Amino acid sequence: MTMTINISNQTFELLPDRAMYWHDKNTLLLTDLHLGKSGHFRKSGIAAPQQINQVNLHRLDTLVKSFNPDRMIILGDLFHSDVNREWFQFEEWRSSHRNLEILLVTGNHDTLHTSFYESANMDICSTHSEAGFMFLHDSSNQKEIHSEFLFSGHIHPGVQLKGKGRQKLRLPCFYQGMKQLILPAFGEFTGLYVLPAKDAVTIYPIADKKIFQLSTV
Amino acid sequence: MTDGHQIIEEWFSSKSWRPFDWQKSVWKHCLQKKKGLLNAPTGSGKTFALFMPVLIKWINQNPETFRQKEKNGLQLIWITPLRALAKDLELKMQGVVDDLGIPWQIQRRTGDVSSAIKQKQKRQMPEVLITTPESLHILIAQKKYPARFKNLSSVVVDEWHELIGSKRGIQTELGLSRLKGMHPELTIWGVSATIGNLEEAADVLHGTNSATNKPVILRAKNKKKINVHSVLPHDVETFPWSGHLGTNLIHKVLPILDKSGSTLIFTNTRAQSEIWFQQLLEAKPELAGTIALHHGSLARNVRDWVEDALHTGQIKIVVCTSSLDLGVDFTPVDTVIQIGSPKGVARFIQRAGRSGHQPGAESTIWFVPTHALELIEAAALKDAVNDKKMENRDPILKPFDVLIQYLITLAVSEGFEPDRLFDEIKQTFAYQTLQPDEWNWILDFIQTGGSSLTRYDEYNKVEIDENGLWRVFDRKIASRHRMSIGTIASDSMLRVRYLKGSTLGRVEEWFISQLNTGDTFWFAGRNLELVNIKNMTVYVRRAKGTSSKVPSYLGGRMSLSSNMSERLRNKLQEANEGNTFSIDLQTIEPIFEIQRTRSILPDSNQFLIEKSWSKEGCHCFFFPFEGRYVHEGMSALVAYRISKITPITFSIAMNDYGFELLSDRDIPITEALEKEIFSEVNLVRDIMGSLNDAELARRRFRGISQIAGLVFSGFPGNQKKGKHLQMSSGLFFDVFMEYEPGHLLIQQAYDEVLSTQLDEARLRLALQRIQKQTVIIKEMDRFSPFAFPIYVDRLRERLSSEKLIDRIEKMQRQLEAS
Repeated sequence: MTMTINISNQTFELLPDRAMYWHDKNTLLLTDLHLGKSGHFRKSGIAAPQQINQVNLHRLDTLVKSFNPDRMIILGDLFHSDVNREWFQFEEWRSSHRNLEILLVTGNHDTLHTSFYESANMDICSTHSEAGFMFLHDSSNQKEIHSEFLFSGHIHPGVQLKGKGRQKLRLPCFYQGMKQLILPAFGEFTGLYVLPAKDAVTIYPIADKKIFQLSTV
Repeated sequence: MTDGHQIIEEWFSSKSWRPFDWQKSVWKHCLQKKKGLLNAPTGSGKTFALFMPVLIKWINQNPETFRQKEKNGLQLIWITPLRALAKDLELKMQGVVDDLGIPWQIQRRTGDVSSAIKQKQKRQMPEVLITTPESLHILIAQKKYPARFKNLSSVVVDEWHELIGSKRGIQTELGLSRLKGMHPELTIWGVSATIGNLEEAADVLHGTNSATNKPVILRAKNKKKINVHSVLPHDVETFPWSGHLGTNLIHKVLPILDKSGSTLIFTNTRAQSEIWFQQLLEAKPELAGTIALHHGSLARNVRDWVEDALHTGQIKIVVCTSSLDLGVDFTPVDTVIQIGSPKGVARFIQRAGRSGHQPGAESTIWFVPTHALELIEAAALKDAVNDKKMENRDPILKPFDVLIQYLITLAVSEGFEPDRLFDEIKQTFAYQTLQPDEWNWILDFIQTGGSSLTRYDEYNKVEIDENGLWRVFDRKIASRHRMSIGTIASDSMLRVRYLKGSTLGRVEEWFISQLNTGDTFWFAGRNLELVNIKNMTVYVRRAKGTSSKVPSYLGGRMSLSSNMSERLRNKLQEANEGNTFSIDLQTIEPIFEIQRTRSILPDSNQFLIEKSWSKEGCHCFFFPFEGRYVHEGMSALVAYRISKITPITFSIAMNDYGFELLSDRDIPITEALEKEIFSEVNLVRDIMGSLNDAELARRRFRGISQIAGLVFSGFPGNQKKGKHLQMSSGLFFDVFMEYEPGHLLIQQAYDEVLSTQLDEARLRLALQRIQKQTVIIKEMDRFSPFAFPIYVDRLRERLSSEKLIDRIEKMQRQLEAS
C-alpha cells in the first residue's frame, strides 16, 4: 500500500519498496542501491548470499514496469565498490530499458571510472536542481539554509518504535525534516541507521509492504 | 633411578624442597608415555609435575651432552588460557633450566609478545613454547609450520577447566588433533581444577580414541582449609528484600578490612565494582592510596599496575570482578570478600582459594548478601565448601564456525587434503559426530561460498591446487584471516582516554551514546567529564564533585548454576522442616515467617504460584528456584502455552528464584494448569514458537559470524582500509535467513540458543521435577517476599500473540500520545 504526499504543490507517492514516484514528472526516485555489494564481499572471500544482486535488480525491474517512468533519479551509491561482474548484470538490465533516462547524483560509493556510467547510458552530476527542489546524496554537510527543498539519501534512515514492556521494532523509513526528505536505502543488505524521531517533522516507516505515518509535531 | 631423576631430585634438594608423591606419580606416567589429566589447583606445584618429566627424558636421552646441546627445536608446548599466567610460567621454567645448566630457551608466544621475537621464533623455535589456543592456531596458519614442530614430544594444556566449555576449548581440541596428526606418539597432559565431570574432561581433551586407550587421571593432594563466614544484617526485617549492590552492609565490611591483611573484594559486575570502590572511599577516606579497582574494561597497563602493587603489598584492598578469578597468586592476600551471590560453587571456591598462599595458611572468604533471600545461598555455600561437589563444565559439540575457521587456517599455510583431514577431525571429541553431508556443506561453503547460481559470481577463497590440496592463494584473504584468528566477539567498545593521552580502558558504545558533552561519569575509580568522541575514542578529563552515572555493561546477569539451584532448594526444605542449625537460615527466619503468613513457604513437594493484582494488571509469580537461564525459557514457554488458550499479551520478568507473568487482563491460570503448561511434550517446538527466537539467534550469530570469517573488523590501526568489507553480523543474519535459511551457521545460532542460552537439557529436567509436584495457587492481596524482588527487578521480555500490524498500530498510538 503506497502513500501519497504533497510537497511544494508536487505530488509524490511513497512506495513500500523503498522508492518514491514523482507524479508530475513521471520520475522514479531512489537511493543507495549498493549494487555489487555481495559480489564485492564474495570476491574477497566472504560468502554473502549471491542472490542479493539479482533480487535488487528484480525489484528495480518490477518498479519500472509498474510505473513505466520516463526517468529515474538515483541519489547516489548505485554501486558499492570497485567494479566486479555484478556491474555487468546491471548493464544487462540497463540494456533492456533503453528508453528510461537515468540520472545518477553521485555519492561516496560511486567511485567507478566515468566511462562505466557512460557505457551504461547514464547522466551523472553531484547535485541536481529542478522545480524548486535540490537532489543530492548527503544532506548532512549542507550547513547553509537552502531555499530549495532537499531530497537526499546516504543515511539509510530507520526509526525505532518502542512499545510498552520493552517492545522494540526497527523499520526503514522516509524521514521528513523541515525542508528536506531523506529516502530509505533501496538495496537489500544495506542496513539501517536509526535517526531520532524527535528531530523529524514526519516519519513514514515501512512495515509489511505498507507505509505508515508518524507525526511528531 | 635414572640420571634424569637423580639430577631433578638433586635440584629439589638444593632448594630444600622435596617433590610430592603425586608429582612423582605424574613423572612416572609421563615417562611411560601415558596421556592423562592432572587435577590440581593453581599454586600446588603442577608446573613442576609436568615440566620435570620432559627434562628427565631429555637428560636420559642425552646423558653426556644435555648441558651443551643448544637449538634443539621445540620439545614442549604449554597451552594456557591466560596470557597473564604465561609470564609467570616462563620465569619458573627458565629458572629450573638455568639452575641445571641446560641451555634451553623458554619463551612465550602470545598476543603480547613483540613481533621481533615472533619473527625470531619463526627461524628458531625455543625448546619450550608457552602459548594460548589462538596463538597455536596462528602458528599453524604459518607457511612451513610442520618443520617448526618437528622435534615436539610433549604438550601440556593448563587450566583445561577454563577452556573446556568454550570455543577456545574447541580450538585446543583441533590444534591437538593437528599436532597428533604429525606426531602420533605425542605425550599430552591436561591440568584442571576440580569440576564435576573430570573424566569427561579428560576424554574431551584426548579425543575419541581414548575409549581404547583410557587417559590417566591423577589428583594433587591439597588440604588447604577454607573458612566461610557470612556478613549478617543486624535486623533482617529492615534489610532489603531486593537489590543487587549490597552497599548497605558496608559498615560491616569495614571492620573486616581492618582486621585482615590484603583483601580481594569480588563483585559480580564491573558497574558494581565501581560503585563499591567509590562508596568504600566515601565511607573511609583514609583508604585512599591503599585501595584499587580491577575489572576487565580497564586498560591492560592499569590492571598490570594493580596486580604488581598487590604483589608487593603496596596496595591492600582490590575491588575486582571475575577479572581476578584466574591469574598468578598474590601471596599477601589472606582474605576474600564476595559481594552477592557467586551463582556457582566452583566460582565461590575458586575465589576463596585466591587467599591464604603463605605456607600453612588457610583461605578465608566472607559472603556479603545483597538482599535477604541471598542468606539462603550463604547457607548453601557453606555446605558446598564442605562436600566440594562442583559444577560440570559441559563441552561444546560440533560448532561449525570454529571448524570453518580451522579449515581456512590450514588452507592459508600448507593446505589440506579433505579426506585425510576428515578422519583427523573425527578423532576429536567435538566433531566425532560430524556427518559427511555437513562436511561437504562446509567444504562447499569455503570453496564456492555456497553453490554458485549465476555466471556473474566471483567467489574466491579456497582453491584446489594441482596436488589436490585445498589452499588459499589470495594474499589479502590470507592476511585478513591470520588477523582475525582469536578475535573475540564483543559489542563495539570505545576507548576511554585522557585528553593528555593515557588510556584508562573501554566502555560500551551504548552507554556513551546516552551522554552528552560535558556530562560526568564514574569510570576506573575516577570521576570524568566527557569532552568529545572521535575515532572510537572517548576523550575525557577529570571532573570535580561526584557523579551518579556508572557505566553498566551488557551481559552482567549470570544465572545460578544447577548445582547451586539444587542446594538452594535443599536449604529451603531445611528451613521448612524447622530446627535448622544454620545461622543464615535462622537469621532469615522472620522473612520466611512473612512468606508463610502471606502465602506459603513451599516444601520440596510443592510448586508455588502466587497471583495478585496491581494497577499494572494481573501478576502471576512462579517459583521453580532453577536459576535465571532456566526461568528465561520456562517463562516464555508457559506464557506461550497460556496464550494458545486465549489471546493475551504478557510482560515477563525473572530472577534466580522465580519468574513473573504480567498482563493487563486476568490470567486464566487455573484453566491453564489443566492444559499441562509444564509438560515437556513438544518442548522444543513450543519454546521456539514462544521466544523471539530470531532475535536470540541473531545475537548468537554475532560471535559465530566473526569466528567463521564473515565479519571483518578492519586491520588494526587502519580502520579505514577494508571499509567496504565491513558489515554488521545482524545484516548477515537477516540476509541468510531470507535467502539461505538452511545455512549451517544459521542453524548453529539456533542450536546455541537452545543448548547454551536456554539450556534445554536443564529446562527439561526442571519440568520433569515440577510435574511431580503439587501446584499450589495462592491469591494474594500483597506481594510476598519471594515475589517482590522479581516485581522490582524486572527485565522485561515480551511475548505477544497479537499480530505484527496490530502491534505497530498500538505502538504508533503510544508514540503519538506521548
